[in-house]
Amino acid sequence: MNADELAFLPLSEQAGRIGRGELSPVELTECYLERIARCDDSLKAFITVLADDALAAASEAEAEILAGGRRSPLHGIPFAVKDQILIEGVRVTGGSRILADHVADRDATVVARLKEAGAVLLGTLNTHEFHMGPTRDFPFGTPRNPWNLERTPGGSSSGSAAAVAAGLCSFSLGGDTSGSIRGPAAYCGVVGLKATWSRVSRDGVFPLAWSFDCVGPLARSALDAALVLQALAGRDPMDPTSSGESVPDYAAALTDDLDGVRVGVVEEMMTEPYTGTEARDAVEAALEVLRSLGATVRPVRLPLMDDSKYAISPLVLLEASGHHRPKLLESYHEYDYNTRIRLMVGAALPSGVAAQAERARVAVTRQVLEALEEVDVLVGAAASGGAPALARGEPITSKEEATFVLFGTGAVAGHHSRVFSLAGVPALSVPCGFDADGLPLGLHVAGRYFDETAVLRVAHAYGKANTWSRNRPPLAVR
Amino acid sequence: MRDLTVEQVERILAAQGYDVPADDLVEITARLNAQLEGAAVLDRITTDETESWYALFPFGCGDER
Repeated sequence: MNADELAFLPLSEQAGRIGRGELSPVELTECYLERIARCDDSLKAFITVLADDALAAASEAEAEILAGGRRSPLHGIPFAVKDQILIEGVRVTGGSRILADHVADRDATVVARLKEAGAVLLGTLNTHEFHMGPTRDFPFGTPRNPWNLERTPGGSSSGSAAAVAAGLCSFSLGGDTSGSIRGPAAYCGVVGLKATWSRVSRDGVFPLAWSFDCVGPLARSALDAALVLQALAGRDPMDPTSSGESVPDYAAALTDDLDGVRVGVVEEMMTEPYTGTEARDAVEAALEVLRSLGATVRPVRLPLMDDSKYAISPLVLLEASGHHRPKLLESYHEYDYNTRIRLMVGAALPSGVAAQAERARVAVTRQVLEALEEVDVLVGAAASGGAPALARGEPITSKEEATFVLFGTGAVAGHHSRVFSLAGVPALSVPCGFDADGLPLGLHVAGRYFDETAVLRVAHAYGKANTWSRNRPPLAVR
Repeated sequence: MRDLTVEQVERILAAQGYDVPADDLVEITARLNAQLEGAAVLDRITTDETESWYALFPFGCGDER
């Protein structure tokens, strides 16, 4: 197996080879560092590459494993994290020029847990400024989609998705407030999981909107995502909002069949204008696969899905503007234009809107939970179609333009994911095909609170029954 | 719902200590008015029985189970 093939192996297979002594963590780390050097100039997935630290950690892992001290399936596996997550002694910027020289003095809990599991940290990954998006001028270069460099990788976990898709790391961490893991995962053709809100510690992670924010894995398979979630999940005394709910063995619950699994297809995730023909056809084909694997499939309605945008938008803006107030007062002009405009809208929103939005959030959540009483998982398209073209977003001058962008068909990007963010339930995107331009399409799967297992089980069985994840983007085979 | 003017938005933000340039205020006002118009939908979604219970309620945050 050559180095490029090695780079695209699922981490579960890499881990198997490391465990059997067939693969060296140092060799794997060198493979990724070489690929980053070769590919990332055009991709801009990374902000900071920790080559020396990664090689030192890989050597240490190799020695420990050879001495019989393998800590976990992640031992010796190279990963990278969204530049939102603190790493001791490393520049962590939030994708902002305001924090261009900010060096973290401690590890975020998720980083500490992955280091404890023996994983090898390669660096930090590009993101929209303070995870808000869309950023107009990226201070560390515009992240691009490895399937087509003129297309967006999605945001705000842009680099997290692009790096996994391009074979620049075994897995990555992203952050998801209203779809920022699942959207990029769909656009880049990888698996991206947002667990139940509170399942994974947010300690040491720059917030966007605390009551929605989730940290989660992006990986090349559902099994890989399960292995990473295993290391991340569980109560953290450093994060008072982290849940003490017991953590199951996610990987052990994955099966190749879906016997007895009840799947609800959300009609509102399958129709125009939010879901194009190619995305709908890809999901319809995926449903046939799910049926063939033993699942029962039935239609489900979420009538408030479209209206959910009116609730989540003010809530995210209000929480974000509150968090950023000290920096806004000090450094307003150093924020990206798009970021500061949105934060000011949050600052000016009347409290009456916030109160109504919170109430609407409950109404939307109830609808999602009621739908999940009848089925085990909800599925639909993960996005309207393949990744759209890169765009800076021109300034808006009228309410009509703003309405189109926020609530009209211009708001397509978050349609498929925000309803599950409002509810706080686990959800993921798994590749389910390609559009006519050769861009990946995603299947969205959501489940009940703390039932990540059901979500991962559906994605795992489906992923094993197709070859979508084996395709490689053109940039990766140059 | 009545739209806010650029001047009104400037005063709301100035009252909070923000000195926002005129160029930015145009888009902020446009977006804010769109948000206020969109908020009318929230009245339709909610009912008198919809309580905005605390967001952490179902998650068992802090519990050791």
